[in-house]
Amino acid sequence: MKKSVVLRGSAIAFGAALLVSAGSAALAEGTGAGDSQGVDVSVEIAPVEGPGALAMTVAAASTSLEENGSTELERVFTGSLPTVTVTDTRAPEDVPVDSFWYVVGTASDFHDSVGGETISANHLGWSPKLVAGEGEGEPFVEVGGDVAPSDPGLVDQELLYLAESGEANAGGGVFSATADLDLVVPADVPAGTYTSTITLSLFE
Amino acid sequence: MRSITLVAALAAATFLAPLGAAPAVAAEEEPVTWSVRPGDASGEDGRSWVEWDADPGEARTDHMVVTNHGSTEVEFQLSAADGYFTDTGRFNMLPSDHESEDAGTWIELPDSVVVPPGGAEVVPFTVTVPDDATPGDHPAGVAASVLSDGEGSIGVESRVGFRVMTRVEGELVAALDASASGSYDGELNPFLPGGIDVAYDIENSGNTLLRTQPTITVAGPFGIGSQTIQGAEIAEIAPGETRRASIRIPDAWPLFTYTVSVEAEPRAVSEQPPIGGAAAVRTDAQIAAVPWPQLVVVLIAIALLVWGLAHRRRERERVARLIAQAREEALAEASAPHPAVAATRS
Repeated sequence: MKKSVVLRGSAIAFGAALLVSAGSAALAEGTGAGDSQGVDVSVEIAPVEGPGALAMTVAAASTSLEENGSTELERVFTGSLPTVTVTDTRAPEDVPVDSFWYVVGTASDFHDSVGGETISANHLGWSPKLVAGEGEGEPFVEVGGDVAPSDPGLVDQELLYLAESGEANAGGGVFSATADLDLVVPADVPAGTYTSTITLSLFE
Repeated sequence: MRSITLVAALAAATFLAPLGAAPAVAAEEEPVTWSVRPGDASGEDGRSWVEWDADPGEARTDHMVVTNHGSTEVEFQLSAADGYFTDTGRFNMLPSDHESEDAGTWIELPDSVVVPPGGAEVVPFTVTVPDDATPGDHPAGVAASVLSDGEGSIGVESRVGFRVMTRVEGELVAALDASASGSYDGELNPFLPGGIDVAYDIENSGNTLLRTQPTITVAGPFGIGSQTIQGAEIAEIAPGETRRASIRIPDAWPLFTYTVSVEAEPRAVSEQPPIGGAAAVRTDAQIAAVPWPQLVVVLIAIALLVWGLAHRRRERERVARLIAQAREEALAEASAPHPAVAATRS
């Protein structure tokens, strides 16, 4: 008598489990397929006089990292990249189709010239952001993704770039970007005065 | 004349904020604005970059036009270096702490140039292809850069430049190599399909700049559940470079095994003449996709069935035994003489 109750219970539980998982599968299918809707963006572009130029503006300043938020396990230093501005005043018809510009950044290893110690550049990360008011909300320009202060780190990472579309070649834009820098090293890193160079390159 | 108005417009565009501030803001902190373009001896000529075909040993003189859009005189460092394409397909040239080994060393140009405010300097440079240069594309770049003052712990070298792409004549080979691996990522829920994560490498094993769009196909045994997905386009990949990418193929049921194929056809980068005989490369990898949750379900169902059948058999046996027992008892009772009858008979 007891055994049959256990058996019947097991069978019911099994059936219920199957139903629940089938149901949740169907549910997941229903909600999982929520693809994002495309947004139409229309833009009117005023003509620009003269041949125009694709120019970069940088503040002639270097930057420093300050200790900020270190723990017993790791030491964290933060700072910010001097603002970089790209000005594109070329007429749209002067810009070849399919061309696009971008600013990429690469950091060199941190080196302590006195102690001879080196901290690999992959301990440095950054979070690029557009400078408010200059290019923010523009459909053409984008900042690169955040780079974590771990392998591969700040190597050939995009700071600012023009979206790869033919319409985005319009001239007359001023776009500024900066980036928060963060260096995360183990707590036992040898003390010293380390320096590194970030190379920012504007190419087309 | 035209260039002056342009410079004025640029200056107005970029220095609106500093102009509003007090003029006492030190001149040394003045931001620098500049552009660099290819050109001829008289100035910019509308090209975006330099691209030329050369025989080994050939040399060429070209010009870079460095324009200073700022309001102070600036000395720009000039450099040439090997070019390459980043993981996202952006052209870049080696930073100054890396030694160039290829086309970057073919370019000779002055170390620096001083450009007056609002002016432009035309800097000639020469590209000399060595006699023993291998056929194919050799990317390089030239740039004018500004180095930040050396106060902070992170210096910033800012470069504006353009590509110098040299194609050395000879036997051109357009070829790609591919390798792929994959793993099945199953769902616990037996009614949900899992996914297949595919990682692949595409290497340019030829000697020309290429572009390609990899195609990833997965198929179960006998082609069941076959799916094809386009990988991210590789816009430009220079000879010797490798691009690593990964893609997830959703909705794949565990069919015990899958064949993952990655196919990539080498195509010429726009404006280059196509290279004949460029065959697509294809690589296969076999991955296991064992339907564990489904197997568990089936096993539980079988176990329950077996248990149920055994239970029924036992139950039937028990009932039969009880009936037999009852019958035996009844029989025994019937055949046994009645005590009262026995007593009277004896």
